Amino acid sequence: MALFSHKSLLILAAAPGAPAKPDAKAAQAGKIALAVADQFVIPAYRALVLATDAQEKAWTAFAAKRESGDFQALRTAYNAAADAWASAQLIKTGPITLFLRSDRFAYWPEARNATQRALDQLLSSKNPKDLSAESLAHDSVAGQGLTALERLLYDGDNPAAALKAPGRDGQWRTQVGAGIAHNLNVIAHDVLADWTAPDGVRAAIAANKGWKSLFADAPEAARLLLTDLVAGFKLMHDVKLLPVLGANADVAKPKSAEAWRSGRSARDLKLNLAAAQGMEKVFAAGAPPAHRAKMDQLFASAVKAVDAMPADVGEAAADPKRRARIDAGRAAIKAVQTEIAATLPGDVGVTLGFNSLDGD
Amino acid sequence: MGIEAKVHRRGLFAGGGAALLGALAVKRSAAASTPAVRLVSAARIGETDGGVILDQEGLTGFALPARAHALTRLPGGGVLLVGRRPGGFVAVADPERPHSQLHVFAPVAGHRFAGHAAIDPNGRTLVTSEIDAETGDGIVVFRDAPGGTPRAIFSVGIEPHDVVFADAGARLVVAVGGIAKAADIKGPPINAGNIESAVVELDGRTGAVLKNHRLGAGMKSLSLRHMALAPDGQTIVIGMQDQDRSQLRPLMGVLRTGSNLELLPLPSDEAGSLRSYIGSVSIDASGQFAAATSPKGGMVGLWSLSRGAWLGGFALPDVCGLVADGEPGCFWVTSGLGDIVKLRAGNSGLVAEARWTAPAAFDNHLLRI
Repeated sequence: MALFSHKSLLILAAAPGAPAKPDAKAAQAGKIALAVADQFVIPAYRALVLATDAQEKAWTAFAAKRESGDFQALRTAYNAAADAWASAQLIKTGPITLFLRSDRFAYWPEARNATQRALDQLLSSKNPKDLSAESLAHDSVAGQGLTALERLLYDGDNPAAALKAPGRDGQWRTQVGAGIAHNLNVIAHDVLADWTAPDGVRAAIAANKGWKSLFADAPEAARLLLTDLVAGFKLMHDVKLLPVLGANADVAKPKSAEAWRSGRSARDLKLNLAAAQGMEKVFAAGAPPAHRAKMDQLFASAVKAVDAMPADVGEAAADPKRRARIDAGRAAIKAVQTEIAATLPGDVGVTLGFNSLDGD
Repeated sequence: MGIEAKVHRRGLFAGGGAALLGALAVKRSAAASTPAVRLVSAARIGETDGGVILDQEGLTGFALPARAHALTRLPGGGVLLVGRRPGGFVAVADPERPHSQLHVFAPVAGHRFAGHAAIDPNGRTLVTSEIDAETGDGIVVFRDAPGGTPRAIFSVGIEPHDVVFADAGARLVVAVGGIAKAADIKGPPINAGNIESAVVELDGRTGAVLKNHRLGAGMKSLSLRHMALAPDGQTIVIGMQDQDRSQLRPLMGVLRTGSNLELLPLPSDEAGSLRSYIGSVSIDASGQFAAATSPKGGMVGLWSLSRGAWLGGFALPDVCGLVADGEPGCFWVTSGLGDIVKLRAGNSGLVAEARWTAPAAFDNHLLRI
């Protein structure tokens, strides 16, 4: 059991002097936070708003002539929204944390089949009040986001027929889908507005001020955004891949893969990684060339390895012949994470915490 | 004030033959170059999770099966470290011989440790908080001390966290976090906006529920998680975490056993400075002061218990470990960045009395032995 069991000693020495030019470092971190907001966060949320707008319109159009509606258009719109979410998913700083918006947008990974249970409840209630923004804000986070919408579009023998079914059942099922699409659009618009408003997050960072109680100044915003980047790798590695892979193919968990119903598991990872690289490039713009070169090289390897993953990540993890390709992607992602955590905080001028990363 | 010393590591946690490494090269500074106290904490050194003892000899690391969370001192001198949620082990270490074989026991079948344990003042009953791995439903397990054999199990609600014996062992107080999720899945809570957190007082011998304290309307996003007992044996301070940061809500409560749960105010200077998150709480040896750490806010907060008033904060990035010193008005804090600070409380807040750093990430909780 003992991992390390040898007697050890400590040497005590006088503490070093004060760190050099803390103000200059803080100012640099603040500038980087603004660049990350302008070049990564806000564009990602603008794209999300476009996708959720289009998705809501697709559901409205479908509902207008439901029995002959274009089901494929719903799937196309869902995939565009899911793409945009995968490109924004790693941002945890700012308004996405308020009102549990992140969990409400995409409740995952799910426990105890919570999405199905919440969706079943919604489908059986047939009460339009349950689809109001006020109601959804307080209801289970599991039944109102992309994860629930995926079930409406991909679960069952014939999800198109279930939506097109004549009578109240099909009508209400469509209303639930349209309600979720509307809810996603409202969340996306609210988050973008909170970033871009005159008293929003971007303005606060630009003025080196605090926003609500989330951060006190621009350097703290930089620390939180860089923490998001590192946590994004943990999301890919520790949450999206490790539990699916298990210790070996026999104990792999295919259905723990994200969005396996819609076949998006590998695509979501690719988009997460591309987003992480986009964010890293802004953070590393002022880093030493050698650091940037090493990061670029590790990212290139990871992109290649993730591109080589089979689309059905979960099934492949349980297949002894294909499993190695999933594990190679996992290892390449981990290599980028390790390098980012080792060099980027120092280059940016912030210190990442330990206890503040994941509380309990 | 603020005397600093740096604690270096030599062969800490190292494998192979990294045994004793010659004489200590102690560079004296104006104050003692090691803290005049004995502290134990879970910590990460490099990439390895273990336990550390910090005392006048420096820092000594010892192995643990995995990352640990809170610590409990046993009457016989042992220190019990509970695996971090979802924990798979409790380890009992001997601080006099930290590298000797640990006594280890597991949670009850199908469960995970929540990270905390308590021992009754007679030293006969050890209580652990545990979570069903699938459902998140919680139990407290009464176990024989110090061996850990389960004796009785009581349901206490969703996701119990900290446990404290009060009233000389007559009451067991449980902070029920209320955050519903399967123990082993790193996903969002199922009931995020509507959690069922509570502080439950149980009979310390029979496990019968004596009182159940819940928060009021508008506070369904708060999770009651960490507790500390005052020297009077009856006053308990409780730290909370808010799952929703769209508005500021109270983060600290005070319970006098058998009475009602009262709330302490947020910082009066900057209400949001605790960032909706308390990691550890403590009450000083005089029972006058309550302190709490917020690693997300990089802040130690101080309240007057008698007046229920905010007194002031002390900034320390990533601070979380917190324990009262034996001297009234004094606390020890540690951070994930390796800081060890002795703080003195007063009516205008906290000041650092001495400060050291070590190449270790000190984890959530701190124990003084």
